[in-house]
Amino acid sequence: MQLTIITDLNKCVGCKSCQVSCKEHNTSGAFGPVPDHTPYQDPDGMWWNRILTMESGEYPNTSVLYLPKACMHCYDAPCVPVCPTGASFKREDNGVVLVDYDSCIGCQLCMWACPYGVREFDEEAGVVKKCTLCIDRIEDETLPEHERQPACVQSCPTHARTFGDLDDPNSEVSRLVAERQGFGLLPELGARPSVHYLPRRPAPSPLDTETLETAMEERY
Amino acid sequence: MRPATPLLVLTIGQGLAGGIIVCLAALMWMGRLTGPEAIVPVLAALGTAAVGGMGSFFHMHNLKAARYVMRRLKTSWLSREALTTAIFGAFLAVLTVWTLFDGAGVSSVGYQTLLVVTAATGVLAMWVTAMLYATIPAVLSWHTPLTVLNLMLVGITSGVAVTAGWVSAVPSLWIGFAILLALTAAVKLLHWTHFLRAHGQIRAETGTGLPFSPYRLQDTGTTKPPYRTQTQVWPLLQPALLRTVKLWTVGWLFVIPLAAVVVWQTGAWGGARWVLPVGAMLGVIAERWLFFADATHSSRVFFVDEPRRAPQVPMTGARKSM
Amino acid sequence: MTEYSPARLSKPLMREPGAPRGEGRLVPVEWETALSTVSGWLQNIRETDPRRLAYFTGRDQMQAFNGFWARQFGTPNWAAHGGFCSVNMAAGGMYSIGGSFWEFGWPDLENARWFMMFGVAEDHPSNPLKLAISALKERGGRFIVVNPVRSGYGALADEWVPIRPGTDGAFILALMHVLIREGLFDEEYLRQWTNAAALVRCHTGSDQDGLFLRTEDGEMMVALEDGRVVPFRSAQGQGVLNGTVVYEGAEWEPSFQVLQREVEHATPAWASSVTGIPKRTIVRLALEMGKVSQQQPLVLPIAWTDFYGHQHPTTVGRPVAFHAMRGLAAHTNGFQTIRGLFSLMMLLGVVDVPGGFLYKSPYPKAVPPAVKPAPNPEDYQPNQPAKAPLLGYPTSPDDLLVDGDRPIRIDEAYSWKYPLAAHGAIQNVIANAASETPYGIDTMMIYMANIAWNSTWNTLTTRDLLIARDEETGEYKIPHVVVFDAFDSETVAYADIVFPDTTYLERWDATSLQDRPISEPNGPADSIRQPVVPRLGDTRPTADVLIELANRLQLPGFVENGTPKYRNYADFIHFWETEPGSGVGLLAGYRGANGTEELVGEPNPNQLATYAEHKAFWQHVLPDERRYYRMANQNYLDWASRVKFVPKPDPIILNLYSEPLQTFRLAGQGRWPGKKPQDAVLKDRLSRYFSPVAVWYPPLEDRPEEAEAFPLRIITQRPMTHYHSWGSHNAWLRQLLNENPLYINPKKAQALGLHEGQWVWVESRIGRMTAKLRLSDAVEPDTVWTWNAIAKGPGSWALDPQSPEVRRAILINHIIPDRQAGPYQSEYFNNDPVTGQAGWYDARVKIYPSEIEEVWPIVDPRQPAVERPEVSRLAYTTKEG
Ligand SMILES: Nc1nc2c(c(=O)[nH]1)N[C@H]1C(S)=C(S)[C@@H](COP(=O)(O)OP(=O)(O)OC[C@H]3O[C@@H](n4cnc5c(=O)[nH]c(N)nc54)[C@H](O)[C@@H]3O)O[C@H]1N2
Ligand SMILES: Nc1nc2c(c(=O)[nH]1)N[C@H]1C(S)=C(S)[C@@H](COP(=O)(O)OP(=O)(O)OC[C@H]3O[C@@H](n4cnc5c(=O)[nH]c(N)nc54)[C@H](O)[C@@H]3O)O[C@H]1N2
Ligand code: SF4
Ligand code: SF4
Ligand code: SF4
Ligand code: SF4
Ligand code: SF4
Ligand SMILES: [Mo]
Repeated sequence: MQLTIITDLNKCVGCKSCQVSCKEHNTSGAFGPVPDHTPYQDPDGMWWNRILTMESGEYPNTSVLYLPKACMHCYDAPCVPVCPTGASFKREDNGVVLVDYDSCIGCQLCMWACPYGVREFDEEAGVVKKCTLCIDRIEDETLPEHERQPACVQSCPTHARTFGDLDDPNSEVSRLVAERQGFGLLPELGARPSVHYLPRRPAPSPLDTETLETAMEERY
Repeated sequence: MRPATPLLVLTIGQGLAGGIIVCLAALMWMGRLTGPEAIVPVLAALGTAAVGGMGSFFHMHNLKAARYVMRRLKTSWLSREALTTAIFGAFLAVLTVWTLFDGAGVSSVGYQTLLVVTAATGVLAMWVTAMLYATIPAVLSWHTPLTVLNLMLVGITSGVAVTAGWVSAVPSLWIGFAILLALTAAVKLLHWTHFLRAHGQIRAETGTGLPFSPYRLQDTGTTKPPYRTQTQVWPLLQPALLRTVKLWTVGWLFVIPLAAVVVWQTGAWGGARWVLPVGAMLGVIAERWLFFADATHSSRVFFVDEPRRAPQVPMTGARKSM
Repeated sequence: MTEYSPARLSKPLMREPGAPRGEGRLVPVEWETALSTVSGWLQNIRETDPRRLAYFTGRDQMQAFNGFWARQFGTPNWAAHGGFCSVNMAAGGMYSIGGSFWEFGWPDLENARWFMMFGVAEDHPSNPLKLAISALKERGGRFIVVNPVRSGYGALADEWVPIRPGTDGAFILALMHVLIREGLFDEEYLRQWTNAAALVRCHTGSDQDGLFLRTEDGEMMVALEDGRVVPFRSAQGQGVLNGTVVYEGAEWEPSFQVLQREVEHATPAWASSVTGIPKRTIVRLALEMGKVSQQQPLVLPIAWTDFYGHQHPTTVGRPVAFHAMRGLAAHTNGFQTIRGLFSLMMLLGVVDVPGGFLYKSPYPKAVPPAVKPAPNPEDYQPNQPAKAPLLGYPTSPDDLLVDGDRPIRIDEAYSWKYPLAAHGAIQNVIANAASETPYGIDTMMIYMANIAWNSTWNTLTTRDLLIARDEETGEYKIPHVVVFDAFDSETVAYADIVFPDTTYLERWDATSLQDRPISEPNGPADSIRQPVVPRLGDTRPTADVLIELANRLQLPGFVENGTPKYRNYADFIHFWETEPGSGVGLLAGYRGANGTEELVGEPNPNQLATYAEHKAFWQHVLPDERRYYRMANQNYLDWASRVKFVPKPDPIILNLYSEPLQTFRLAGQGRWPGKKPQDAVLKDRLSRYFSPVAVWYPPLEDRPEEAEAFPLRIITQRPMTHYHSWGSHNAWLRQLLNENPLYINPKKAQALGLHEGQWVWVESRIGRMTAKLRLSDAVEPDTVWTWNAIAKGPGSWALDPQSPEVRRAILINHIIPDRQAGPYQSEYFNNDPVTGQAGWYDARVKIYPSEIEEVWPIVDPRQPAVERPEVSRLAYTTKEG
């Protein structure tokens, strides 16, 4: 089993609800807090999910893209073997990559090893923290079934995010990845991220060029 | 990458210590080492190794868990580093004691064996440390065998230069020294070229799925500095600064030591000898700072690369939990 | 998080005795002191001249209550924030289709196949819009975004149509030009449901010019194919759209023909030169929308009956939807542009049809709704309530609040300057009060608006006006300023008295159908807010405070025979009715003594509790046969009049042609029998801008003088993460956005010799400021833009004065002109001449390198009213320690 999140870039408007709800849930969750530095001065803080705003192409053929980026729960997670204490580990039963704060020495080598820059360092606790795929929610049997979902998935107002098991070929996430050409980031670095993104899917003009050409030539 | 002081101290210290011992072992092998001459360098090696060790110790932020650090020898170069550094340290300590209390023993088989073994553990420790850096694909600049060569050669060169301050045989073997410098310099230059290439290697299209360039990361929010929790991102160095530090490195680490040896050889100025350890130290600090500060991490593609700026407001004050 | 904001006010505050206003030198006082001081001022005003109270409110959800309060007080000078927000959108829609976008209506993205959105960055019901766009994308619907900037929703667009700001009207006219020329429009729809066929007098120079031919009882007349002229309804939708008719000795033509003439010269080539959109794109988009709407109808198996008595076995929809917001509204030609958009929608036949635009209850209303403010000076007398609701929709010049040429209201709403100012004009108040135009006031009460900062323009001057003093007496021109705020905003510093409000998590509140409904197209809905956390410190809900003041002042409607009717706002929500015994109150659900009735019913003393049991929410789902064509759906209209959404079950005829506008034009031409202005400029404005069919004219800032000297347009967008000024005191939100560069197109930057990261001067005709450039290919070359309301004044919001919001963020309001350009600039605000909407996005600038590399201007620091926390690390946790 490999639990994961698929984000449909054809639907993400970059509202950052998932970023904030991640912090909201996790700061007081089992793996929190998710601290802030000088919050009322020059602020900075820990976020396990950060939304990027990217632009590409030249005007007027400009493309704008929002990319929510949290732990990719990699199949070959490079953050795991580098860890000297075994604090970074990948769960065998569901593929979630986690950090055991009790044995983490805070050496931050895993932060270097992670190609995606999703691990963050809590100076005060002296440990590295990151997205847990909301393990404390998805495994919380006191929650009703439909709430056993990552906070960021539940809060997305455009339903751009889907949670599920990528190893199960019949799951919604597998279906989406297969049907919509889901892709992972920085594949060349070999981490084999389980988190996938679905590319843009433009709807073409319903007008045939001939009709337009004729109208332009004859009348405009 | 953000240059963390403990890591600078650790890698410089370890390299120096290893370099000194390797140098001593080489001199011994050539029969040009005397007991009293060895005392200061061995002490220096122990000192720098100890400082380095302290550095690595303080790079751990959760000491409670320190006892687990060798749990993953099978996979983690850091676990191995802890082990090899400790072994090197132990041998070094014994060597130091022997050198201090049995000054004439240089020629004894026991001492010679110990020196060789210590040098070997030193080389091993340097190699393991270097491998730790070289085996991280995400740090594109380091992910090359050049990193291993670089760290080991710079360590040895700096060790040799420091040793030169006390062991007069070194400057007189100046041709050997010059060859070592040239070799190290060549590796360093190659490494820098690799760094340059690494900058260009982060591919926004594979990092974002956007098919066409040019790319622009537009966020002014949590993907811009100061990144206090994101130690692997560190904005690109300003070209002028980069140039200056490179010149400084080349000057102090290669050009000036070479010049100093030549001057000393000509006998024009006896003090030239002391330029070697001082210059090497200045050079190696610059070299190592650049090694970190100029290194490119693949996640840079996800962070806005603005020039660094100091926090505008004090970072001290109360801490608040709610 | 906002709950824990260190910027929360927790005690009533009063300006320190002897301290000047504006420096934030406030001291805590007891509630009784604050209340008795303010009620003393108000008592005096009410007994002498109630106009001397100006009460203006910002982004609140209590407009029904506030409007009632002000009316009972007797002042004409109340309005909510619509003047600086989007009154053009509201009025443009109300005068066209008796509804609008926004809270009034909505694109049906569940059924649309083709969707065009103009000028929306975030919108009011923003999460529902996000969901709807996502649903459209899921179905593979085509999404076109018309906006000078591509961002947010626009990022998802299948096609981005960059447009020069303020030129959408020209684009829309050209679309209509193509559609009419290609015959790709819905003639049946126009004949049946709009006044396109209604005959208007065509005789320039006549008093009747442009007015409808009407029967004795006022019904419009249309011509039939056979030449007969009959009342609109008897024509059964068969009125002709073209030709000229001679009737009773005069010439008449169908109003459609007037529109047709207007769009005739709006060729794609012309529009291209105005908008910057290639001609080919304009033609293609027109053909796309025309073909999808006319040739791919969406037929639902829902039978319905229209007001002619025709039974329709199915409901025919047209899967082409539109949406628009402030990108169209916030211009001085916005009203006419929005009229244009609704005209386009009528032309395509997409109003209240599946796949098109759908009303949200209680809309549609009459075009325009039949509510008007009392128009005479005598209607606002001491110790009397005002004679009518304070805001509404004039239908002729006779409805204006003028005394000759002189405005009755302090904001000059409903005056000749801004006749259809349906939401008032809050942005005019400070300047008018300070210059005693048209008269001086005594007390200004501000609720939930940060008018000394991000909702003002020419900000530095406006701040000066708040502290302006009479040269002779040394007294403040605005003697008393009362602010109701929950946080230590920039405006708090300008208060003489501050009432600390609760946040919405600490109070009872209603989102009412009487106010800004949250209804969905499938039926009316409303909801409540309830206290979920204890009140902070010594705070009180503003509505409770206003009720307390009303009780002390013994305002009619609040106090009967000396006894207060309401102890607090919760009481008001329970028991207030629009008219005594009307059965219509703030909340429509769970009415009647037992809570069993909906929409109309006696007040229910347990209503709030019942809402609380139902997740704070109530909704009525319309049966299918009442869901579409509601302006003409007899079944719906009968029901709507029973539940008092409309006064009578009459059809609502959509106004492709607006006769009310024509009456104003006649007044401008001196040919209206009733009220008309004397002043030449006023006359000219009416004649020029009150076209009865949609027109485009350049924004008023585009006089050649300004256009040449200031070649770029500067606009803002709302960030999805911040609500105006409220986000910056939230420890998390401020990390998401705390400084705002000025975005510029790289080619433009290159042409100006500017580069990424450069500091520049941004100069408008009223002043200049600095900004840091950021190049972006996602902005049209003649536009620069930044985020709205991120910058903060030093000392406010409990932020460190060195914070990025103060030191690195810019507020473009500093350079947005408050007055119109040209020879009369001091007399006219930079408002839409029809509605008084603030023309935010008309501002023009030039940009050149700056010698200073920092934000300028930064206002003087003020004294904070709250303690600033010095926190190095903040960690919320539920764990011990
Ligand atoms: N997150 C968040 N949500 C909010 C608010 C908030 O502050 N934050 N504020 C609320 C309020 S008060 C309001 S009024 C609404 C407003 O909601 P919006 O109308 O979405 O507000 P703006 O951000 O002003 O968006 C205007 C858009 O129009 C574009 N634009 C500017 N000029 C033109 C033009 O001439 N033509 C076209 N086609 N486009 C143009 C701008 O680029 C921008 O994208 O949002 C409400 N929702
Ligand atoms: N340049 C530029 N300027 C603009 C706009 C733009 O797009 N560009 N948009 C305009 C528009 S559409 C609008 S609507 C205005 C909005 O402008 P404002 O209405 O001034 O909006 P806010 O900044 O939200 O200020 C609201 C005030 O309410 C206070 N407040 C927050 N919560 C509460 C509460 O619970 N109770 C009370 N009593 N007070 C509270 C806040 O502290 C703040 O002082 O800005 C306008 N200004
Ligand atoms: S920081 Fe912690 S989790 Fe990461 S490598 Fe070091 S010990 Fe392992
Ligand atoms: S994304 Fe980074 S932290 Fe997450 S599993 Fe992959 S390598 Fe590890
Ligand atoms: S899965 Fe949970 S922890 Fe991970 S990004 Fe989403 S909300 Fe955050
Ligand atoms: S919540 Fe959804 S739409 Fe918003 S940024 Fe996250 S993924 Fe995108
Ligand atoms: S801020 Fe509140 S009301 Fe506005 S969209 Fe978000 S959840 Fe809805
Ligand atoms: Mo607004």
